[in-house]
Amino acid sequence: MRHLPLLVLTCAALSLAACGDSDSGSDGKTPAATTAAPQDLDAIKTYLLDHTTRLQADVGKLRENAEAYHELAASADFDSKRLLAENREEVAKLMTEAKATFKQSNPAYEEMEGVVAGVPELADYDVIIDAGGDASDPETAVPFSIKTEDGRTFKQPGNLFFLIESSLYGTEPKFGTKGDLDGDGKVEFGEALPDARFYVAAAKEFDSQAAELDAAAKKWSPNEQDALTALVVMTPTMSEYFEAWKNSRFVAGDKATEKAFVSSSRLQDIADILGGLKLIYANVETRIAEANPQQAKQTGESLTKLEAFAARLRDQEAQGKKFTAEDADTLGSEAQNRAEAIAGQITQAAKQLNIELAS
Amino acid sequence: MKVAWVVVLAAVAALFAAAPARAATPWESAERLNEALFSAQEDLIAGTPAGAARDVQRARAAYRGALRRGLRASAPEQDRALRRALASAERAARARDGRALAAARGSARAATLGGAYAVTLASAGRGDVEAARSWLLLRDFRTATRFTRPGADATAAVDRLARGKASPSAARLTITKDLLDGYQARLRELLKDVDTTGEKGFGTRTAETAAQAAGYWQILAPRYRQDRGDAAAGAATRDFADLQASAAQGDRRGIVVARAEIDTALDGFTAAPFTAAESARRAQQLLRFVALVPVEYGRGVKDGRVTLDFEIQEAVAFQTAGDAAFDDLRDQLAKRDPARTAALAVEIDELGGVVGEATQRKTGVASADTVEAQGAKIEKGLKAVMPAAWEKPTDDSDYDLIALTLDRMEAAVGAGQRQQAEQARLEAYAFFEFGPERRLKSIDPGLATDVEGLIWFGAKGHDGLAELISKGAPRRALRDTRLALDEELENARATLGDSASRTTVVTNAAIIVFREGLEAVLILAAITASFVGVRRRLRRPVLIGSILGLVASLFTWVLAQTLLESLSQYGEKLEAVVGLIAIGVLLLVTNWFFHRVYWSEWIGRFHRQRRKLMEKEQAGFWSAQAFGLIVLGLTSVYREGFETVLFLQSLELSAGATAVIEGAGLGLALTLGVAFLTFSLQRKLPYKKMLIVTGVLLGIVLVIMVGQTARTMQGTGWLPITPLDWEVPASLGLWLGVFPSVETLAAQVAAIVFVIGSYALATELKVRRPQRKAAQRRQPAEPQPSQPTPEQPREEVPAG
Repeated sequence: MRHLPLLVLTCAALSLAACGDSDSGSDGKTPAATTAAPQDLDAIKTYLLDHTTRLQADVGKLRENAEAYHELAASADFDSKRLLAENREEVAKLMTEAKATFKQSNPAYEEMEGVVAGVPELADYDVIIDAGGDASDPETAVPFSIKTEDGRTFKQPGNLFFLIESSLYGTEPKFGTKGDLDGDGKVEFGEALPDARFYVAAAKEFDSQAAELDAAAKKWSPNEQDALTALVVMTPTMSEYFEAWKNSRFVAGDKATEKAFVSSSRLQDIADILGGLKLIYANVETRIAEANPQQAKQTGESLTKLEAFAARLRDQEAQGKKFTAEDADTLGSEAQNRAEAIAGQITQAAKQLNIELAS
Repeated sequence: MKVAWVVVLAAVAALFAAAPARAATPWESAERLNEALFSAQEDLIAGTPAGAARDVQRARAAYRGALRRGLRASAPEQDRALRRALASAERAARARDGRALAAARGSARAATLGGAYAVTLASAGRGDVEAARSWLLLRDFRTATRFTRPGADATAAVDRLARGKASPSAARLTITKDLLDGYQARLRELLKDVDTTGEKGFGTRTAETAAQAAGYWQILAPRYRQDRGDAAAGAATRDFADLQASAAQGDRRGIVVARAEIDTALDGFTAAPFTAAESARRAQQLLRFVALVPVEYGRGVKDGRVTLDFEIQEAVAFQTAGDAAFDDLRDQLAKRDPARTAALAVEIDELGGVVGEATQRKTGVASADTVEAQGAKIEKGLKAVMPAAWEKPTDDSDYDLIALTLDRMEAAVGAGQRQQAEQARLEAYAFFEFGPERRLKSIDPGLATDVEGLIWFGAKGHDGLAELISKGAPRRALRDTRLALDEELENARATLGDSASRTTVVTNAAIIVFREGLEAVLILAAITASFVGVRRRLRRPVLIGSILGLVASLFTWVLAQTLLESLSQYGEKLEAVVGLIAIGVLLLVTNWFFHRVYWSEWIGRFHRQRRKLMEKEQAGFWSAQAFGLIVLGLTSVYREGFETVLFLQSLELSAGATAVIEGAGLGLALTLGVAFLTFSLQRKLPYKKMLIVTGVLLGIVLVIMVGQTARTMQGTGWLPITPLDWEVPASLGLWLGVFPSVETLAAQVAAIVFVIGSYALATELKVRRPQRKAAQRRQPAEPQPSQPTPEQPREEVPAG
């Protein structure tokens, strides 16, 4: 009896030894596949519909703003000088509101861009709303043109975010003029008077497309192929986004060649897009883990770290840090390398699950 | 006792200390190492050098456990390289040298991945699935582009190894190819980064990418040595070392010189060895890309001016793809004819330059003829230097081209270029029809019909692409159909990939011959049905024409053995032309049939001058009438014979001649049996009934032929396509030539109107009008007021 405690301790020690992991060269054993419940991808659709609803609401406000501005411009016979002279305060108020709404609408879209651009059924809307170029690049040009009430046609002018943003901030002379909105005698960056007829036509087109996107999203049934394709397609576009960031005002200042991304930094978009992709991945991770748990873990961690990386840069920039072009290039390349690794990993997972990625 | 307690407690404590936390996997260790080094770089950028030194220590600490053991055991050189890189990183962090730190990171990354490559192969080679799977997670991937995605063959090979479906050596080979392909692609990208960052003056990034490129070279070097020998491999290694050193020192000139040497060394080198089938496939892609460049360019340029940017972009895309395909095959081509291969490389580059210029300016660009001549020269040169086996189109290359062309179609729709989209759709269809479809129709006609339907007017519950493009549907509307089409094409690939059993081949060949033969018998029976009695001799020219048609079909078979390529590219046009001739002759015959038959009947009955009529008919054998009947017999049989040859030829390609000939013989025997029964029955049926039956049959055959020929002409672009929004089962098209398009249906309606009109006209001219005239002649003359008119006997008018 007096040796009982000794016996217990010895047994405990032996048990502990038996539980220790062996430090072998083949860590990462794949355990026997477990039967997981079918993946519920509805969360992706819910996320998408939340955002299409938000976008519709924001774009609706932009349209109302554009119509109010158009009314004012019409009262001044569309003469921008007369418009400022007669209605400066009101115009300034409308422009400030529009810019705020625009800033709000951007993340509403960017957070779902991963789904919209990555899912073949919806990808056209990304071209129309956010990614499409103008007629000078037929392969990426938007499929629509803007027709104004006075008979002008702007053939395939570019994506809708670009049209509104460049109109509001005066970065595209075709869509408006600059003007002293605050009446301080100086015309600073961002003080602009959109071409009212163009602006209202573009806003109406945006409103219509947002509604169409919402309808298409409601019709869409998410499946694993769509989810994995979205991840493979969207993640490697980091280099384009970082390139746009590098050429934007946030890095290049007045030497910026990028006419868009003036209201908020592209880094915000990048972080938002990655957030959306993380959500998609979270909904397929269990399925991937069935085939290869280590693969699933690797990709999950990689995506989380990539998002954190983008968010960290965004926060640093917001706190006033100025990145040079070389810094942006280094950081962008790192993000691109990580993104491509993720895309490669997802491709492996799709193969193991016998899921054909859409072209 | 106390001593015992102490011993036990000490043992327990030791066990606790020794009990390992879950050990990091190789990829986890590598990830920590890489992140730590990047963090050190960020610290130097942020101006916190102390943090950089700490991060490098973290990186050193991460290099342990399974990662270190694996590299030490299977890749000692990479282990040494990694340790050197970490030491260099430490020095760089202390010295606050961002460039040196970046270079060290590049070297560390490459050494880690190179080591993982070696360990993965070693594990697979000894059949250690778990180790292979674990180490395969530590790798790099080629970037996804418009034409390529990262490969997954290595992953699939490990899975097959796990399931016992592949031997360790086979799995190792597949893994080698996949990884080498990825690393070579990444090496190209890293070298491009060296160039662009160098031009921008981003010295830190140049140093990192140059170091990483040099490290990746070490992964590829053994394959290079195998292909080009020790001397060449040694020289290339020195070039990479020079590049790395120049980049580390910021020596721009040294970088440029080293880059030029590396480009020369790597020109035409393919690390992942192609199998014979892969080489053939790539060669087919190369030939087709080169052929398509002048086609697209020609559509986008006129009189030295760029008229359609979209087409120029397509031309550039094909030239780029052709360039890449040529690079993949260059080594093999150079072994056959180094001088010609080098000349081709220059010509392909020149073509790229010419086409590229059209993207830079709108006027003063090369003419379409110039580009066409250049393209033709390159194509000729390639065919002269390629092995014969590479020139034969493979199914894989056909599917590649179909997919590529459908991608172009979608891109054109997205850009609002409907005409270009329709052109691309027709091209994709042509690639399918003269590629896999011929064989597919022999083995699974239902699947072939579904694919056709999806490309044209709809199938399997989806709208057809022709319809969607015609309606101006947006790209997303085409997506559904495209996805369904991709699936069916994949099914087709799988179906044709399985070799058919001999019984299946014989049966299919017999069915093909019987089906096509039956159609010919039907036409001939319909035409010759009324050739009885004195007109029996009119059967002879039809029989002669039929025999000529058979002979022509056999001749086509012989030609097809050697000239199938040439025939197939004109196949649809030839089909359309033969169909038009057959329709023309059939229309004439139908017209003649109604006029002649009724004329002979009715005039004969009215005037009882049949003998005189027959004398008039005996105008000699080589009369226009006889000639027309010969042509009718010939075209009726040859039209079916030509199609049969094409089908059987493609079946022969997959199954060999013997089985096909056996099946064809069986089908022919069945056809002749049916012909014998049909012609015997003709003699036994009542004459009038036979007239009616054959008249109706002729009409039906004509209408079917018209529908099918109109559809063929839409495929050749000779008729426009205006789809109708009607659900028409694909079987109606297959059997009755009914397709939901305005042109095909209008043609069929016109044919029906013609047949009925012919009959009505014949009846009017030859029956009713004479009847009315006869009735008029029989009416009594007006009587004179003073003279009574004697009653005249009425002439009997025979019943009509």
